[in-house]
This record gives sequence, structure tokens and C-alpha cells, in this order.
Amino acid sequence: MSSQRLGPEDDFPNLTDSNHRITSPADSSYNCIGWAAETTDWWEPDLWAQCYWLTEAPRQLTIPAFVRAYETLGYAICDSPDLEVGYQKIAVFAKGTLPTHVARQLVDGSWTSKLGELEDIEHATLGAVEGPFYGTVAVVMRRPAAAT
Amino acid sequence: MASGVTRTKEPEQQELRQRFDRLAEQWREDCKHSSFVTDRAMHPAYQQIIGMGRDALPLILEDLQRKPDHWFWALRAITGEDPVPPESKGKLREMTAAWLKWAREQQHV
Repeated sequence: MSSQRLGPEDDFPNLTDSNHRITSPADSSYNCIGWAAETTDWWEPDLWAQCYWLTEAPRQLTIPAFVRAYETLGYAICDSPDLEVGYQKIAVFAKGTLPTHVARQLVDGSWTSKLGELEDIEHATLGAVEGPFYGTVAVVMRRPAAAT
Repeated sequence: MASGVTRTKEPEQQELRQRFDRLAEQWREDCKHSSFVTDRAMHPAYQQIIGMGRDALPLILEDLQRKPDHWFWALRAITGEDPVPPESKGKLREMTAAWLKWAREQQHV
């Protein structure tokens, strides 16, 4: 599957034909935060509480709030995004202190991302979606794969 | 007609609809990569739609009937209501259904 909507002309200058593939149709009903948690709901700590957010985590658009949210799902901060057998990883992206995106590692070490209201993609590296829109990886977390 | 919805004349309605469509298109295009309703709701085009007040209500509801989308902040801002049950938060289709049910009960659609 391919798309004319992604690429250097958009907000993802590192995405190339060879480092990603689109794996779903565009869908505005879920976002990357829910997708990283293996749901198809819209997760967000919005102040008007229109979106789902874990009750154990602060309803704040901050990296610590995101870390707390995923901690409640069994994740803990780790050092490396490299594939580790027996662990599932997520990566929280940020621009400065503001979270922008979350990606989830797949069993082969590649990553899956939901891009806004657009498609899901599989990308070989986290750097593929870094750039002016999502910034850079701020935190990597892992949990035992058995917890999935 | 239910309370609170402003009656407008035909040319004014057309103008409103054109303005709404233009703003909604701009909002969707600019926010397509954003993963946050918070960002989307703060977009100038979305804010202008909220600023249209009750005149925007039938247009938003009509848009929601066509396709679920993130109009919930605008609907809440305009109406002061929030008919979405807690268990449906974050579930776009259920949220849309809750608002359309509310709209039918209020005779907005």
C-alpha cells in the first residue's frame, strides 16, 4: 500500500519509500497514544476530559504524565530502543518538554506508528518519524512481553 | 425548533455554510498529523467555528452525521452540554452517537 499523503513534502522528511510501509487506511477514530497501548481508541490527557486517559496518570500534556500512564500498563523506562527478546517497547517523542507522539515496537524490532488521523505505518527505525512535527525520542519504555 | 438555535435567512445560511466548510477543511488539513484533540481544538479555524456560536451547531451536527470527527470540544463549548458517558470517552463512534442522540432529543436534527 502506498500513499501520496506522506513524505518529505509533509512533516516527515526522514520517511522514504524504503524505510516504511503503510499498514492501515486513514482513520480519525484513534491516535498514536492508544495505538501504542494496542487499542483503537483516542487516548489523550485533554483538560476537558473528552478523551480516554488512565485514571492513575495526571491529565497533563507532559512527558512525566505519559510515563506514568504507560507505567500503569506495566512499562518501565529503559535505556535503549534496540530489540530485546522477551520485551515489548514503546517510544515517546517530544518537542522540548511537550509529548508529540508514541510508537510501539514490533516483534521483529521495527516500529508501528499511527500518524495523527492518517494511516498506521511500520517504520524500520524511530528516526524515520523524527522531524519538525514529532521532534525526537524523549523516552523509551519496555515491559515483559508476557504482559501483553 | 429547539431552543437556542438561531434562525437565519437563506443567503445568510449559505454564507455560514460556506464559511463553515472552508474553516473545517482548513482545520482538517492543518491538523491531519496531530495526535492531540487539544491541538486541534486550539487551531484558529476550529476556534473561529466555535466563535460562530449556535449558528454553527446544525452545521457541526450535519458534519457529524456524515462522518464521526473531533467536534466534541466545539459542541461542548457552544452548548455547555456533555452527553458522552464516561465509558465512551475516547471512542469516536460512541461519542458521535451520544451527541447525535442528544441532538435528536433537543430537536436539533
